[in-house]
Amino acid sequence: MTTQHIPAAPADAAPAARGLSLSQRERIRSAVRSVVVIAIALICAVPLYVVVINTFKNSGDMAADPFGLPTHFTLENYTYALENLPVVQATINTLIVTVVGVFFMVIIGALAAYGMVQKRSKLTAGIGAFLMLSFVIPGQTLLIPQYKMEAQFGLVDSLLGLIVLYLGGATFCYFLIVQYMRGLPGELFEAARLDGAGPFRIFWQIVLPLIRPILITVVVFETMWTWNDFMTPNIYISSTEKQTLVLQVFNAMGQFSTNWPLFMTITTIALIPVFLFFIFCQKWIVAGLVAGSVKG
Amino acid sequence: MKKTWQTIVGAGAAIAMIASLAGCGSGSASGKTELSFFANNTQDVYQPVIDAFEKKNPDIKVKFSTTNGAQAGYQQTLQTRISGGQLADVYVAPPEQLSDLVKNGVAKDLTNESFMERIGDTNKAQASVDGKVYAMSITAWTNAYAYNKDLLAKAGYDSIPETWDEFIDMLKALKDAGVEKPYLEPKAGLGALVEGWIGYDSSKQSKSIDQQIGDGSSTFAKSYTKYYKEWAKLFDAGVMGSEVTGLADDQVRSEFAAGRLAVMPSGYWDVNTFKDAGINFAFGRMPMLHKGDTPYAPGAADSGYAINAKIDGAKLKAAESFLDFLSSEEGLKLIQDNMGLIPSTKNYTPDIDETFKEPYDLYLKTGNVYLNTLGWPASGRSALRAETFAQLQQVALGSITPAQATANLDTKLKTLS
Amino acid sequence: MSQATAIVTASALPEAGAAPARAIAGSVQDFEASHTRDRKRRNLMENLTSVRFLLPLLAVYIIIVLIPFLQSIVFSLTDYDGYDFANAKFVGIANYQAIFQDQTLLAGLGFTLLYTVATTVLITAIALPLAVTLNRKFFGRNFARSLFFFFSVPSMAVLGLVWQYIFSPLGTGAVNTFLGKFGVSPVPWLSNPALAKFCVIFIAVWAQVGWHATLYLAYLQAIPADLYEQASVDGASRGQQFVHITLPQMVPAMGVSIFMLLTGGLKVYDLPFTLTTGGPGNATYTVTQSIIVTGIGSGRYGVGSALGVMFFLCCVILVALQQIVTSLIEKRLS
Repeated sequence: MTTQHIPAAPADAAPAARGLSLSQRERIRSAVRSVVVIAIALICAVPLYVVVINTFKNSGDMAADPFGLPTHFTLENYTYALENLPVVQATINTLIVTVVGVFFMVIIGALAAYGMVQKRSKLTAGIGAFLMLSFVIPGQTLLIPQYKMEAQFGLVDSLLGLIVLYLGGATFCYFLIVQYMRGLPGELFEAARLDGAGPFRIFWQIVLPLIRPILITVVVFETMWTWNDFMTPNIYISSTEKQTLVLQVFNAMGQFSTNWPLFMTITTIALIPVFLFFIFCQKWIVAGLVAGSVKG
Repeated sequence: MKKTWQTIVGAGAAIAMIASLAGCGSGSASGKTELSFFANNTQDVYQPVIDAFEKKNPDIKVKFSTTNGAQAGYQQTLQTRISGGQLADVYVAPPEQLSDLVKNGVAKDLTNESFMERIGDTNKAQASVDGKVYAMSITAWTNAYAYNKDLLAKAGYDSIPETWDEFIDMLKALKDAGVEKPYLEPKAGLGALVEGWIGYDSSKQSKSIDQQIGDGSSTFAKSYTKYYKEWAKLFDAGVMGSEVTGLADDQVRSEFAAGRLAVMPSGYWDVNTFKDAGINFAFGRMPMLHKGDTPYAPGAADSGYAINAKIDGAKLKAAESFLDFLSSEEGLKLIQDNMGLIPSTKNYTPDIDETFKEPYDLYLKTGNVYLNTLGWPASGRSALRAETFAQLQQVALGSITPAQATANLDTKLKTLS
Repeated sequence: MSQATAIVTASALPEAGAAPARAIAGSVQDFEASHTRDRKRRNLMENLTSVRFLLPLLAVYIIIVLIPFLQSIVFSLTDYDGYDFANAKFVGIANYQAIFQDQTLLAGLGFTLLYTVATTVLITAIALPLAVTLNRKFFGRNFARSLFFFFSVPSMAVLGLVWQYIFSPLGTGAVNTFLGKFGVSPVPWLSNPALAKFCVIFIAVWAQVGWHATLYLAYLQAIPADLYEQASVDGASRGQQFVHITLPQMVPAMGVSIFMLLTGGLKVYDLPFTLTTGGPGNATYTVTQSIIVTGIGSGRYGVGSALGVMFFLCCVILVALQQIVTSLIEKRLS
């Protein structure tokens, strides 16, 4: 699994002599690591615990003791959310927006990164700097111009309109991927080119598999971000049947006060899919590259 | 490896197709007039109202949309949608935005509509620009002090006293009786009760004190300093500490719900939370500066319903009958039951939870509520209100005096106009 | 390069073999001319191919980001109120002058810079070793990775609420209850300007560290394994390996991560706003909050846009500095 896993053995130790003592030492180290890292992770996860535990309380119970176990355990929030909110429709909408949005974002970003590392010239350097500007533009000032533009093209209140806006995230994908690609050995592309492979074939068959760790990382980041985005659908979506999952938290926010237990319940329901998605993906971030391809 | 990538790409493309197909589904309901309605409250509380309306008007279909809360979220979304020409047919018009809405010609003049006869004068006045009414406001809110009866009893009190000095004495007595936190205000609601005092003093003048500040005939330094000094007595007397500068609404409410806090500024919206928490509580008056002052409290008419000025024909008719229904007895009852708002129209007397009886009689029945922001220039109201809290936080921390705070507010006002 | 060399050799050889010296000299000239022409054409072609790959991103970027931003530059020169632009009047640089008169903005600038520097330094210092640890084998590794990444995923609205309860200045706040068991009297976490700044930065580090560790984790996979093999054959300890192999190899990754932290930090709004609303006083007020509260949120879109443009210019300068420093370090190391 971990190709970088190197035992810290004395250099002169012969392979046969490494034997027991080493693996024992490694086992102890790994156990210590387990305890320390998981303990830290759990302490840091207290806020997440608070979110989850309060989904089993009513407002009064939570207000009286936000950290404690529920005095009257209730599943009322879950039944309310699942029965009264368009959870199924909202999940489908969110899935469509996230899958399509992230797919194009990452492809556009990866293509651009590939184009960028193919050739270093003043032109590409200029374009690179130009693209970097998008990171320092405060998003709040773009709100109204973007909305006006989408309204002109009839894209407001549509899932397509959301996807188009999310494509802006391609710059982020590009940026993460391009640095990674620069670290790859150039000889690999060269060899493929000598084999007569066109740039697109090189991209699909050689580059994409090679950058898988960063590609999956970027997919994970963008999925979390798109799935969880509240601002954009809040402003753009007005039809109930086009709402995304995260927008359902509105149902817990009244005009003057917020029903926090319900808010946390909807948040939990909305986030379980992405949590599972991350657990699934994180293996692939580090699951070894095509063995040996990076070497030499 | 190759296969995997091809599968992923294929799957992505397939879903893209589905998405583009899904984008152009759902036609409009045939034969019915569709009325879009944009509100600042949730669908589940509005749905019963809409259902009842559609039942009475089978040829109208209400298309509901919402965004969160009464504050910046709703206002920002409303503004953005107007900028893109996507305004709903009927929408909630926050008083802070009303003059901008009128200036941009998106709110219809409702002055002569028949349903406006039901609306009380306070509500009408707040929804008016240059003498014309542009929104139908049918409910009102007021602050009140929520108090824990059991804790108050420890110091021998059974209600909130009438004057500020007596109130501070009560808090001292509570502290002596072992109540560690007699009184707390949330950081974004510091000094709210001075608005009641200003409201009373304004009622004796032709122009409210805040209007005078707004038009430049007075300043914060001249008119607000004495109120802030009175408020700062809380710290001098040691009944409230600087920790309030780090307490949000929810923490203060938690202290009260847990039975540790004796008094807090609150409102009708908290009734159910406190009942759920199982404490012995009631809502009472907010003390005035002098004995005999008419009681006033921070409060105002709620945001009204406005009609998009750009609609006509069947849509306009539908919009008018929707507003007519909202202000009918049936509509008001549904609004009160589902949204917990208090109707304040002439045609309907609401049933009020008994814990809220005193503030309802004192403030809402009489219309003796006052909100300082309403007198300030429309642009920058919310920024100035945020600044009042920032300044009072510094007073609470002891880093500036009330006089410096009001002087800073004057400076801020200058940069905002 | 090798491909180019091959072409050159192939075309040059036959002539060189058959012709006398003069011809050779001539053909060399010819060759050099054709070579430069060839290289120019190849350059152009390569430029075109690479630009072709860049086109989709450029299109997206120009349409979704650049054109709207240019529009907001236009807004910044008017008294646009955010509703109907047809009603807006040209006011020149009045909005820009108004910005410099606002004192809260200066307060916001100070905290924004402190926040940016502090989070960048702390997160980098924690995320890198964390990533190295999470890259090693141990029981529960997948769980730990997922958990660290997930801290910041729930919305700030709900996390802000929870942290307010944790860092509540009252004796009943979570941290104060814990400290109280050791006889410590309640600490005014969110109600003391310095401590409130600390809390905001602490929570920002908590929220983002797993995110950046995941990024580093991806980059760690690209370090050639034989570097470590060689090092351990040479008898380098783990600490030495970290300093001499991991760190230099991670410089590009750090460039990416630090760039994200800097730009994200300068634009920060959500966290301080939900946690402290900028308080106590103006202690944790940020520039973006200023853009929203005094500009856009108050129907003064012109002023808000002007603030945004000024802010953009300042960020460009800061980020350009960071880029220059990073590329200098990279050059020295490679």
